[in-house]
Amino acid sequence: MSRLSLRVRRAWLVPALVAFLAVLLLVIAGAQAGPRRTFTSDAPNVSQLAVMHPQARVCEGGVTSDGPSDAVGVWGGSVGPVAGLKVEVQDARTGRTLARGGLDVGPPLGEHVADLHGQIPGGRPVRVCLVEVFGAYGLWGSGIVHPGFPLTGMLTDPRAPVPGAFDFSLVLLNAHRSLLGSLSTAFSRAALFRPSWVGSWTFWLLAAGVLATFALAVVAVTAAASDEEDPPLRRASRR
Amino acid sequence: MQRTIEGGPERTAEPTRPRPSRGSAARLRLKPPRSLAALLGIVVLIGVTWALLVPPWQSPDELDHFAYAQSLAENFALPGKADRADDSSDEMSANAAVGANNTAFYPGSSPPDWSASDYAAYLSAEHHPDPPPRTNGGGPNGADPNPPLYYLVADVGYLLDYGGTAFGRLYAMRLIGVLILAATTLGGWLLAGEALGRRRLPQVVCAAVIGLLPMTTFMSTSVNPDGLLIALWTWALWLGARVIKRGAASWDPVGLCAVTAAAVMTKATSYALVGPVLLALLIGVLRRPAGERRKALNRVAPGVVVLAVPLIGWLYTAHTLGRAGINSVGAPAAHPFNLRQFLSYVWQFYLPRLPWLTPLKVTPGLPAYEIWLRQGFGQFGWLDVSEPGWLYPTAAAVLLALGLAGLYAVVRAIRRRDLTLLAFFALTLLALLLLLHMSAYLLLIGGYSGFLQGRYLLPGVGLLGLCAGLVVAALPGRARPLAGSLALVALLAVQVISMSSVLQAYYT
Repeated sequence: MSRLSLRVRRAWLVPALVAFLAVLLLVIAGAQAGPRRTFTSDAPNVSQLAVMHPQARVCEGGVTSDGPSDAVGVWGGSVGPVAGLKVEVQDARTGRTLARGGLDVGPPLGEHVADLHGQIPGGRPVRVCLVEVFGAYGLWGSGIVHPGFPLTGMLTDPRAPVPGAFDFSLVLLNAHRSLLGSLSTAFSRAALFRPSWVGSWTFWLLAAGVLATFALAVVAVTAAASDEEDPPLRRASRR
Repeated sequence: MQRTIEGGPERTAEPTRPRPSRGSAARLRLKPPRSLAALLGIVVLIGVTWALLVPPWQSPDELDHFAYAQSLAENFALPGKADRADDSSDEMSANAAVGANNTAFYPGSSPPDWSASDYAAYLSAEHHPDPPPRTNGGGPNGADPNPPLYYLVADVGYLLDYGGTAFGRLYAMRLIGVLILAATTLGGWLLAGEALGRRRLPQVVCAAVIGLLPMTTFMSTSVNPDGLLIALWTWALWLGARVIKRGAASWDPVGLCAVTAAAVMTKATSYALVGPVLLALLIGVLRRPAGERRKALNRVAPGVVVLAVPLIGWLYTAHTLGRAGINSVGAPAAHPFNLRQFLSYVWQFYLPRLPWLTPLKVTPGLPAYEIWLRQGFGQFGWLDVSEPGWLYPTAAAVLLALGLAGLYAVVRAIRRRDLTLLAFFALTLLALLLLLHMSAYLLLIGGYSGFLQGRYLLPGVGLLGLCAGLVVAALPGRARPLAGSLALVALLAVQVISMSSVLQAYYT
């Protein structure tokens, strides 16, 4: 066996090693835990609904998450250097408090996540309440999206919106799920509002296809390297 | 003295060995190289995943582009009629069902509807004997100044799933974009083959950079003319290089002009391509020996007709219909063009503002980084889905290295006095940048600062791919497979990270 053909035959080793390492790193990254949404009010954070001053309390519910949740996300920002919020999650039927949390928020507008002490069970209607503890908090949301769970409560701002006409932007989160562990949920969500032939299976198949592209990359580089060393026309002329 | 013409890519067959028979050589030439076939397989798999993964209408102006294509498919009429609704009831009901308007810009708080019962309700309305009409759109929207070529291409997808829901038709149009993406990648392969010679590793890397840059994949598989624009510009770069290197041989000038005309018929940005293409034709003719120039001119003349006729036809049609054939920007009468101010704007786009310059910045940070790099590399959805923060500076470092490699090529070309290809590529990039910056400047002094987006630079992505191919070509033989592997695998890893970002933004 000539040295050239040996080199060509071994050419796949380096690309394969590089591809394997990349896939390994991606799998490790995908296995890291992070917040995943179990419920969303679908109210986009388009405008400031009200400024909450101390003792102001707003609630939204009953909302039902599709899995256990241990964090709540709301949108807004402090009016002033810092604002403190208390988050309470109650059983929508009995009013019993299921979980609590707190947030210290600065001025930049954005999503603020409160980790909860206690877990919100999936499939049970709950009401999420925000209570201003100190400072002032600008709460963001939109006109009502779901009449089923409007914003309710006491707002000390005289320009506060009419209760029942607005939703504040709200998500319930499971903070300890990995992306890889969430793929099944994500694919079943993504399968809706697609062509009739698309289902969760399509995304599993595509995920396998994306994984296969690393193997195809090895083929592409190996074939290109061997063509450079031993071009096809030259190969054909030797036959 | 007889002048010689470079005969295109070098041949690698050894003259001392017996040549393959004519038939087997032809078969070998027709058969795509395995490396290209594998790369196209990768691009198609990644493209289909993007096309189906991104939620309905979650790419820039996709609602408007869908409405344009629907107006053509249903009424065979260009949109923009003042007495009609922007979007058809069919599109509006689908948009409302999935919550596309709310998701745009706010995917965190308002992701696409996940409710199976809402989807069932939509399907039941859609399958009602009297579904929402598709023909009552065609009113003015943001896309209506565009020429119609892309929308006619996308309508092939629309008609393939004509009996389906609006979602079926939208995704069928996106899947047409996968073919366009494959054509872009093939164009990159050919471009590298022409500019760098038939060297497979540089060709693979060049084509991969072009076809697998996350933003190219995302835009090509959205309902948006940008995908076709990128493909046509990449093909124009290849054909321009052919015309220059082969001295306007055979049908190259006609091909180049046809691709340029198609690009102009896709988006007005492509008027920037006309100057560089004329330069390529001129160089191609001048590179022939004096006695052959008349023959070469005879080959260029039909090309010029192929370029001019569709353009004049479109401008005339647009004028007849009372439409803008060329998009107009700014309000020059109120804010006249000022060269010093324009240069100051360009300076502040690329470099930190000097104390004595009047602020003309369009982003809080350096616009070149925020717009060209961040948005051009990967900001998805309605620019509301970003890559992980660390990826942008990493990409900036890699792109800077590629830019320096490009500069090295310029220096080498100057030393070799091989300036013709370089002039064509440089003029193409400069013309694109000049058109974009001029438009942005006119809008800025008219009071609008949000015009430029990173994706507008993507028609020039072929040159980025070429820089990457050049780096691989310049490496010693043993290092090339490793460099090729790193480039391809890094691009695929970035693709996975980008798709994960999209999945997390909308569906987890």
